[in-house]
Amino acid sequence: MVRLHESLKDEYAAKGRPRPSLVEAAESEYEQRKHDVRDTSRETPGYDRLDAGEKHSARERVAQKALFVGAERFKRTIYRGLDYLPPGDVSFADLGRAILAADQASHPDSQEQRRWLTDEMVARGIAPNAKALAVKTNHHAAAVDALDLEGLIESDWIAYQFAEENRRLLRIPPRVPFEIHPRLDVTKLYWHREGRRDVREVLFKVSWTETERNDVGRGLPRRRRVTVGTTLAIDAATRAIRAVLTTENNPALREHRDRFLRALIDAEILQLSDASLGPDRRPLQAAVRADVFDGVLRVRSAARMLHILPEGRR
Amino acid sequence: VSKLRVRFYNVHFGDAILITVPDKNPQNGQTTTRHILIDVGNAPLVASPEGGDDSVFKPVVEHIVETVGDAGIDLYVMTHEHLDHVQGLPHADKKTFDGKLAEKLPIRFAWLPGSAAEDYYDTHPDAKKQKLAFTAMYETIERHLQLAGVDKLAPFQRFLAINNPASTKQCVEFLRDMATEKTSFVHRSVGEPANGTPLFKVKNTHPFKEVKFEIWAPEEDTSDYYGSFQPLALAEPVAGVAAATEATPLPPAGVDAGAFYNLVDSRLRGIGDNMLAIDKAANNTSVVFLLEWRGWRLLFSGDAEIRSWKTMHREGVLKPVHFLKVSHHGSHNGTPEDEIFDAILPKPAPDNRKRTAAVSTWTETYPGIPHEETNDRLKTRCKFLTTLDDEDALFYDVEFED
Repeated sequence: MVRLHESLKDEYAAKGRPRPSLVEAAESEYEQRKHDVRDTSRETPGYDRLDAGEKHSARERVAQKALFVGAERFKRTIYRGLDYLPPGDVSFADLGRAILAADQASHPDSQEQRRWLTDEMVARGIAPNAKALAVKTNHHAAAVDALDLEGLIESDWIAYQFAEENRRLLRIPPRVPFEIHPRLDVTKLYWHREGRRDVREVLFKVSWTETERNDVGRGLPRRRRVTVGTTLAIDAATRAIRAVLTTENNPALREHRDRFLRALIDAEILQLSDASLGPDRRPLQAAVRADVFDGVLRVRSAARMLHILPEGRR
Repeated sequence: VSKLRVRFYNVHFGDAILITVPDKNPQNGQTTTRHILIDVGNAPLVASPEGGDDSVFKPVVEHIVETVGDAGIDLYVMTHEHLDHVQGLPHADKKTFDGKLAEKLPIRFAWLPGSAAEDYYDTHPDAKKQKLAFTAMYETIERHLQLAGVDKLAPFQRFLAINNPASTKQCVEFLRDMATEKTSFVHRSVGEPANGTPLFKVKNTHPFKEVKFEIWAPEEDTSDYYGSFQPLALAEPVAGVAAATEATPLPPAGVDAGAFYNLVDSRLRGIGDNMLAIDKAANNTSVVFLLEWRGWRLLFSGDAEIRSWKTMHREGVLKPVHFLKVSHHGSHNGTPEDEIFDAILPKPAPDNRKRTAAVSTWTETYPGIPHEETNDRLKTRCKFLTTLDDEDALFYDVEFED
C-alpha cells in the first residue's frame, strides 16, 4: 500500500492538473480557493500561479487523496481476493490467484499493480511464473447465462443440482461427493474513471476431499485426506463469470505438505487425537490436531497453513 | 548358567528397576554378583499430593534390601528430577527405615544427571536461564490454579506434584549424598572416536570389571531440552480477592463480554501447553545408558522424550539393542518413530538373540498413558512386557543368559 501511495503521490502531486478521478476533492477545493483568491479575474489560473503556501496546501490535499485511493485499492485487492479464495487447503499461490482474479475482474485495464503483485509472488517462490497465476475473467458459460440466480442463492436444492450438472465448470471430479457452502450475495462498490459503480456478485463455493499419498512417516498412515474446492464468482447483472478459481493440488504441493507435516511433528506441534489435549483434556493452545479414520489421516485446523516455500527460495 | 536379571518393580506409575549381573574380573577370573538400582519412585496420589504411598513403596524397598543383602547396591542411577523417579528412597528412609536406609541399603557408586549437581547452574548459564524461566512458569501456573479452585486444579494436580521443584530438590539432595564411594554427575561424554566408534568416558564412575557402559544422554548443556511457552494472560492474585473473581475477570466497560471471555479462555488454554513443556524438559534430561554384558545390549532410557531421542540420533550414539526399557511409562512421545526406532530395534534383528521391551506403567495416572499404538509398535519388533500384565505382582523380571 505504501508503494502504491508513493507512486500515486509522486505521479500526481507534481502535476499542475492532476487526473480528476484521483484528485477530484482537491481540485474542487482548488477551484473554490481560486474563486476566493482571484474573484475578479474569472480566468483559469495555472498551478504555478499559486503562491508557495497554496502550492504546499494543494500538494498536501493531493497526497491525502492519493493515500485514500491507495487504501481503497489495497482493500479492493486484498479483501476481494479473500472473497474469491476457494474453500479447502489453500496455498499462497491460491491466494495470489484469487487476489489477481478479483482485481482483474473488476478493473481489467488497470494492470500495473497486478504486475507488481505477480512479480513479487514469483520472486518469493509463491508461483513458478506469471502464467501459473493467470486466471480467465469476465467470460460467459451457457449454464450460468441460463441460471436462475435468485434460486441458486436461496435454494440449496437448486445449488446442489447446479453443481451436479456442472461438475466440469466447477472442476469437481466425477462421482466425488461434494459440499456446497452458503452462497454469498454481495454488492461491491467500485471506483472507475467515470465514477463509482455498484456491482452485485454471487459467490458460489463448493468443496470436496481428495485422498492422497502421505509420505510423512513418523508413524502416520500412508494416506491422508485433503479438502479442495472451487469458487465461482458471477456478475449478477450480466451473468458473466467473473472468475472460476479451484484449489491447486499437484505432486509438488503434496510434497510440500509432507515436509510441512513432518516439520510439525518434529516440532511436536502436530498431535494425533488425544495427544492434542492438555492435562485438563482441553485442546492445547499450540497443537494442530490430526485424526485417523479408516487408516486415513485428517489434519484439522491447519487448512490454511499448508504451504511452504522450496528450500533456498525467499 | 550365568544370568543377568532385570526386575521391574510394580510401583504403580513410576520406575524402580533392579539389575543383578554376574561381573567377572578378567584379571583374576573371579565373578562377583553386582546390583544396579535405577530410580525408585512413583507418582504422588492426587489424594496425597505430598507423595509416597507406604502400601506401594514399603514392600518394594524391603524386597530390594533383602535381595541385595549386605553387599548393597554397586551403582545407583537417578535418571531425572521427577518425583515419580526420585522420591522412593528418601521416602523409605524416612517412613520405613527411621533414617537408617544407608545402613540397610548401602550404595557404593551413584550416577545422577549432570544438571542435578549442586553447582550445575552456576557453570551453565544458558541452562540456568531456561531453568529459571521454567521454575517461574511453574510457580505462576501453580498459583493461578490454586486460586482458580478445585475443579480447575484437579487435572493438573499430578503434573504439579511430579514437577514440584521444592519437593524434587529435597529428594535430589538426599540422593546426592547416598553413595559411599563416589557420586558422578553424568552426561554424554565421548573421547576421540576410534574407527568411527565413540569412546564413552565412564571410567572410575562405577566398580564393574566386565560390564561395559555407554551414556547416550543427556547432553552436558541441557538448555536445548527446553521447549517454548505459550503466552499466558493469568491475572496476578490480589490479596482479599475471592478465587472466583480472579478466575473470571470482568470485561472492560463497553467490551463485548463474549468476545472478551473467548480471548481469556484461549489464553488460559496455554496452561496445558506450558505444563507439558515443563514436564518434557525434565524428562529429556534423563540419563540414558547402554549396558553391555556378554553380547547382550540393554538400553535404559529413563523418561527420555522425542527431543532427547533426536539428539542421540544426531550425535550418532544409537545402535541396535536386545532390551529396551520403554521410556516415559509407554507414552506416545517416549518411543521414537521411523529411523530412530529402526536404529535401536531394527527390522530384521541383526542377530538371533531374543529382543524384549519392558515398561513400568499404570493406568489413569497420566492422560494417554499407556498408549496402545506404541505398545503395538513395540510388539512388532520384540517381546513386550508391562507391569500391567499382573497388577498384583511385586515385580516381573527379564533374564538374559550367558
